[in-house]
Amino acid sequence: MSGSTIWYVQRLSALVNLIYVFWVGGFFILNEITFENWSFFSSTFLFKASTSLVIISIIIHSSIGLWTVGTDYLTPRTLGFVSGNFGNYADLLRLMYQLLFITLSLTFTLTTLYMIWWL
Amino acid sequence: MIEVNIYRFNPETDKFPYMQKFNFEMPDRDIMVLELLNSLKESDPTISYRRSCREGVCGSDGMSINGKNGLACITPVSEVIKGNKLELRPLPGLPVVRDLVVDMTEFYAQYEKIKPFLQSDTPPPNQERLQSPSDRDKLDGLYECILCACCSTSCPSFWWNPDKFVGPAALLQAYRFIADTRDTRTEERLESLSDPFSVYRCHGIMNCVSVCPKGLNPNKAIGEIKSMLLTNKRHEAEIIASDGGGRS
Repeated sequence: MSGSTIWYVQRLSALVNLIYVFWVGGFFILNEITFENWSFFSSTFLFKASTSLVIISIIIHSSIGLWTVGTDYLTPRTLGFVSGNFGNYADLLRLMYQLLFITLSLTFTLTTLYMIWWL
Repeated sequence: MIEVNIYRFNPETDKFPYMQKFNFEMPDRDIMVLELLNSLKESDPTISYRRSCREGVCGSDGMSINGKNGLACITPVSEVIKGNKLELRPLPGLPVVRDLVVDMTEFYAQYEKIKPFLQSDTPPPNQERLQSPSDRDKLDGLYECILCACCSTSCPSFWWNPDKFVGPAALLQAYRFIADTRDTRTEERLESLSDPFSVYRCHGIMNCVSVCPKGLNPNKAIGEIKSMLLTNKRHEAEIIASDGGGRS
């Protein structure tokens, strides 16, 4: 994937997240917060679809950001600044970091989608 | 009397680097950091640092002066001294050869990567490739770089990925040739920078602008490159170049 594509995807996903925050935030500001109001709002198709979109958008956005963090700080060179021995484990640490992120992302996405569509 | 702390490391005799303290009697006038170093070297000839022109043209004596990169030869002690103390360290992020001398191989490798020379597919004219004054003006703020490495070694992205991120100094030079209307390889130059690391690892923290001893703005040049990569400007630039635009 080219740097430009990644740049656009990161900005677009940030925009999607921002619009969602304003939209849901607007609901809380403009409406009385009662169980009935929130239940009705969160059961609409628009809410379910947009929340699903935002979940995916958050995962995409964070995966780019955290990939940048991983390739900056979890490298033989950077960890080697801390200790030469530590740097030898950088590739393994980065792999574990990526696996942790994938596991958490899948758990977060599947749990949220289940709650939105099936609970 | 001021306290000067200098980073010392001789790989032949030292296992680890250390800071050595010197007390220095300042003369009645203000002096440059390089002059201070030269005076200290008279008393301790083992202090190692690079220097050449002593007037901010050669870019040899880049170093970290009280935590900020700069050229020792054009930095007055009075401007950088804090609490009567001065701390001199090598440029950060590059391997230390000895004391304040760093190995600049990675820095020059990135400079080589951007092909810092004019490339034109048009037949060479009898005398020289001419340029209109307005096109020549586009190179101001770009060609003046002296490759002292103060900017690239103040950039965390360059510290972490000096083999992949081109760095502000070389990117400034890359844009110097992209902006040159006599150069016809704009598309090729941009393509070589289009991966996720070469340019896009710049997050615009602007340390490079803050430390440049020549007052240049690598961040602006990087922004121009990103803008060209993200839009169709590169195609326009290519068309202008292939039409011979700018030549007069």
